[in-house]
Amino acid sequence: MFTVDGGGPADAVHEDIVTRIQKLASFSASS
Amino acid sequence: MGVDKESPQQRESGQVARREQSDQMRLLLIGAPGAGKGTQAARLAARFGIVHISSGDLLRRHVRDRTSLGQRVKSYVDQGDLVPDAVVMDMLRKPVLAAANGYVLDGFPRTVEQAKASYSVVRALGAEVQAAIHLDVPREELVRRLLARGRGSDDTEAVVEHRLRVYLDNTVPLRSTTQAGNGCSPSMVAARRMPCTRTS
Repeated sequence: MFTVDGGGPADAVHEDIVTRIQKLASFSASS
Repeated sequence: MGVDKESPQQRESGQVARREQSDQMRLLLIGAPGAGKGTQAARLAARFGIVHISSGDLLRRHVRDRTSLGQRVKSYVDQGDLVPDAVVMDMLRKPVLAAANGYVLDGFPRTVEQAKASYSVVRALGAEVQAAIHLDVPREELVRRLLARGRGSDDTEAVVEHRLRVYLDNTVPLRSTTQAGNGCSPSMVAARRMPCTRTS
């Protein structure tokens, strides 16, 4: 589980989540 | 005639399809009432082409349609209390299994009991969750958002405070459980293929 700051604008929160998911996916693909 | 025999191309295509199936994105959004779970789930669903399953929307639909389940849960919803775990589990089983391309689920699990129960169920069905996302929002912002929704008598300040208290009493222990040890989840949020992370 990862935590993101949800107190900001929805667009910024969305991009933060997507970035985290993509990092997880790329880490998984390389392991 | 051999039409049923799989060609190398078909076999490769099938392997790709199975690989893609195993890579289906299955996400959970966890957060207090007013944290923006519904908003973010809808955006993630659109972004990745997966299904948005909202436990809250499903519950409200049952209440609106006055199903037997809806009548059972109405008293809980009216009081701002959590709906019993078994009811939520039964309600979610069908849409989760039907989400062939993956899903983002918001509003569930909300309690430690839900997490424990759902883990065994979804694993047996081959629908394990890959990542759980916690939306962290300051309490004063949550109160502001909930009051601004203006959904009538349901959202008086007293009810809003009660909803947040219920969340803190039930969901925060879940977060502690899933972040135990090295940060990897011992329960349903444990990623089968993705690593667990503990971030601030």
